[in-house]
Amino acid sequence: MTLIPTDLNEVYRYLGFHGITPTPEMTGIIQECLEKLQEVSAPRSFYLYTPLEIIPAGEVSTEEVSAGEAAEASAPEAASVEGASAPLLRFAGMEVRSKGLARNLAGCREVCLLAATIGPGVDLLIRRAQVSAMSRAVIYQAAGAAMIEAYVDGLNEQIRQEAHARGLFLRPRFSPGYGDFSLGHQTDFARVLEMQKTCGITLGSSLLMTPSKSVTAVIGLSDHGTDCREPGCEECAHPCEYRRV
Amino acid sequence: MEICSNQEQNRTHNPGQNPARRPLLERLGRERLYCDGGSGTILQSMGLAGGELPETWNLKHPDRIISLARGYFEAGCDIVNTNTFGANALKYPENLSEIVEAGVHLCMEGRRLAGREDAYVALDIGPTGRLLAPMGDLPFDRAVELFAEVVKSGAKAGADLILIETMSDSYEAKAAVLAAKENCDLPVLITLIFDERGKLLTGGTIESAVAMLEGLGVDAIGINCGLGPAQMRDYARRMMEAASIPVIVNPNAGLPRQEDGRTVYDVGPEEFAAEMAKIADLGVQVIGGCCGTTPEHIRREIATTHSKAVVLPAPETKQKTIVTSFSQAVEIGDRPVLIGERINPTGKKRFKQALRDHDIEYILQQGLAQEDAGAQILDVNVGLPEIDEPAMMEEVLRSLQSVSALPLQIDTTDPAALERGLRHYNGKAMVNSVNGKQESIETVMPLVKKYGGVLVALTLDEDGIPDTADGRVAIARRIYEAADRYDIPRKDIVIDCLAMTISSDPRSALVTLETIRRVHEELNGRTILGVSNISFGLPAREVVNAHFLTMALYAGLSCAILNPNNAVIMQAWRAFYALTALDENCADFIAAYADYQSGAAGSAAGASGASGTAGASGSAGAKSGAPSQVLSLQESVERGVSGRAAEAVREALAERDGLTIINEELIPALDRVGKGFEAGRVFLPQLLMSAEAAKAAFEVIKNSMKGGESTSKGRVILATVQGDIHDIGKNIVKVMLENYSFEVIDLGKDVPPEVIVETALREQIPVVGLSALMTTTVVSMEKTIKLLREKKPDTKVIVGGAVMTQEYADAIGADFYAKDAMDTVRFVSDFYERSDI
Repeated sequence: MTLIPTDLNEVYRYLGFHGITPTPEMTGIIQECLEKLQEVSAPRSFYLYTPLEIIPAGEVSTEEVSAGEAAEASAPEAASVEGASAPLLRFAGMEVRSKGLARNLAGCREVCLLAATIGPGVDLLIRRAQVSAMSRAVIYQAAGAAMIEAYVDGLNEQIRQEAHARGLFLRPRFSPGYGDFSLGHQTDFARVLEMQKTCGITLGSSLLMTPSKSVTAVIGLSDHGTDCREPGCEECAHPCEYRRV
Repeated sequence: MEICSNQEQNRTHNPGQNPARRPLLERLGRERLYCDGGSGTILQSMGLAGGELPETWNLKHPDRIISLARGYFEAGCDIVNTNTFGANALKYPENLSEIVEAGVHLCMEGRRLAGREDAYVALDIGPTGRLLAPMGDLPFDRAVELFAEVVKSGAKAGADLILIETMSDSYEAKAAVLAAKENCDLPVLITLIFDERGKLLTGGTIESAVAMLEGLGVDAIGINCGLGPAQMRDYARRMMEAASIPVIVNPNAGLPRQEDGRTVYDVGPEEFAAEMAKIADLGVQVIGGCCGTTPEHIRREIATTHSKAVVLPAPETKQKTIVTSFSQAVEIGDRPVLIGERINPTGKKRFKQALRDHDIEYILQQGLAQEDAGAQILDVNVGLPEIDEPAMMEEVLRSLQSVSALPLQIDTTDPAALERGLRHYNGKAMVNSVNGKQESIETVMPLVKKYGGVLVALTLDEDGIPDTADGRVAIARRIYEAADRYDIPRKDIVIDCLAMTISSDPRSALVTLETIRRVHEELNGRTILGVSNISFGLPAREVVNAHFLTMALYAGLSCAILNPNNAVIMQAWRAFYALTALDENCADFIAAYADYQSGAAGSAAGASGASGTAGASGSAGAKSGAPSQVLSLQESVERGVSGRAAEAVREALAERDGLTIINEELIPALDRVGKGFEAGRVFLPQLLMSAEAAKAAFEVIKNSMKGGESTSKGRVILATVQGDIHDIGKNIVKVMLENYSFEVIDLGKDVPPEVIVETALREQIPVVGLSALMTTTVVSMEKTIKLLREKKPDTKVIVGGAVMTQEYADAIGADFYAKDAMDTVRFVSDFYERSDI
């Protein structure tokens, strides 16, 4: 069993506690659920470093449309014409057109691609609880979300140290689905990181990952400045109640 | 059985076998054979770009693919794979057969050029890349179809064997093996990928995978990829210990490392061969390599290991009786195994109703409660004359396997339900049952032979149940002989010695016990018993059952089918374990009875357990801590104490009728909690704990009502739309709606628009709630709404889910956007109130 240090306040945030202190009884139940999750979690991860090329929007020819963007075209918000005017990013054989990601990675010449999961046991626990006690299911769901984030934070720290050893600094991690970084690129991540083999992560027909508590992300490495510590979730325009800030 | 006859027609023979090539099965396991190594690294060095699909080279660069195969044949490999690992109709919808056939022909050409007509071309089949339902979204039957297409093309093109490899999920492995065996006569070899903990992606172990795949009749089983030879050695040893068939080990050239954005493997040919020699020393019959290995690796491997035991001892037949799920293996041997009997409609009104109402959740609750009570295997019987048993069997097995990792026992008298269950079960099931009648043997044994399974054999035949142990042992012998004829290993037969009530025949228990002892001692067989029949017609049945259980276990009983929710029975079970040195330091016994009170209190606890009302939601409420003062019904709902809520409603029913209690007590209490939730004072888990308490109270009221009476205030369809398999939000809404006495038709997740519309039309339901988690699945939501508007324009559509906003809801034409479960409850309540007027 690998313990993943998970912040209770993050679990509360995912449960929608909005800064109000839960009762001691509720805290006890949440802690009990967190312990069970720790028991069944089986964290696995894989990452690699790869060179990055950013081509500004004006210099991108219109024919260059990646598979990811084609997939995005079916999503409702993809109707915007912004996609075509966004810069093109090339790394690990992927082509991504995204203003948000280009802003995040501006000035970087290398990125780290990452996939991580806390394993299928967590999903089994959530499904079980949906049958036996829905109140526990929502707690497992929130605690699982906090736990995968905590696990990825730990990996992020490891990557930061590796970068520092080479005199490089990290940008906040950025995931497919953030802002205009199309979820369609999940298939690229699956292929490049061999996610099924290396982490046991598979994609469904709608590009959702199984196990559900899994993360894919790009982390930019830049050779000047300092680490940016704020996460990339702010890029998203969606008025989400789980938003960090 | 229809399926069987179709398969015969589909089977493709391999014509024109070269005389230089002996049949693979004559050599497999008797001499060491060598598989090939990696292809990715080699193809990359030939110019395969990142992101380019390797199989396209079968058509684009045939010369390079020939040279790849030729290299391995020349290195001395006996089995070389076709370049078809990723070939399936999901990736190649247009030209699959062309790619597969070319792959086989190119490999054959490589063999010819290498002058290795003695060697074999293996049709290589890799995973689809998609996870099968219920954990993922690819239906099992679809997976079988996808593999079948590849098998048919490959066999037609002249492959000598099927090699299924890098399978990380037992269910997908099963689909591939069935597709191979149903569509060709070629030998079927399979290798799986395990992680550093020795687990499959879906949790399976080496032992559980071996049991399932041997049951399915593969010709060899092994491990490939994921690990280097050093990390694989322990797993190779475990596989040799578990398997009764030849074992294959194909490791990577060490663990992967990143270099300039590429994956590289560091173990060179020399070191690789030295490590493989250690694996050969374990007796492993087939070795090769995987990612990062080259013809040179294999050449050195052969040079280092070829002289070792050219003639191998035949694989040893292991005598363990193993039942598995997708992840757990339970051995039926010296430690008695507890099989839960509660998933069975016989004599249970509520269970029958659940089957008729298609209330799968209730059935799952019966399963989980038994697991929590200590069951190791669950018996599953869903037979009811008025339902479609085969369909129900498939659905219940799949649903149970999505929430529980316990192995299951398929219990049916309907051969169609048995086949459907065996085919779709993920693991090696237990089958209940065959008996000594010729007809039963001829129906059941071929299915068990095809799909694998541990078969319960009842000691009765055309002449009925013998009333002597001699008679029953004789039937047991005949059943073993029949198993020999069907080539089902004797270890996979468990003899049911049959318990008949002592109230009609005073000697019946003695006959049963004698039969158990003799099957155990004379036939070295495993035994099973449905314990509770023994006391039929008597008072205090649990007392008789518990004592009989102890006696039967002492006579050598291997597994008992019983009710694990019964406290008295479980006392006998745990005491037997402690008394026969099966419970180390009596640890389990102490853990179970640390707070045991003797006398009245103890038996009262037993009685409440025996009544079977200790449902999952009840026990969850109890765990949250029973307060010391006695709570009123309203208080217990508001504070989410399920046990007390059920008790309080029982008291209230003595004075008032159910509907009054619902309207005057439960709904007002729920409203207060709901208002608190909306005001941000009550949090979601607390809201749901109140809902669970109210549900426990509703169950009591429902049970108290006579037929015809209904508490339903209206019906609502709920569904998570097509493409979306995250349905927790929808399930929360369901709980809340049911709390407010609405009847929910839950269509589940990943539901096609047509199913939703058909259901709304057929059942004439005016309100439909749809959930979607992702922007990509909002599209399916929109399609569903469009179709509803077209076919049933009067329907009100509520939408909700993580990405949903009022703007989206308006854009896709929904009637109402619900930001949470209470919002939905309010809309539905208003709707039905308005329609009442």
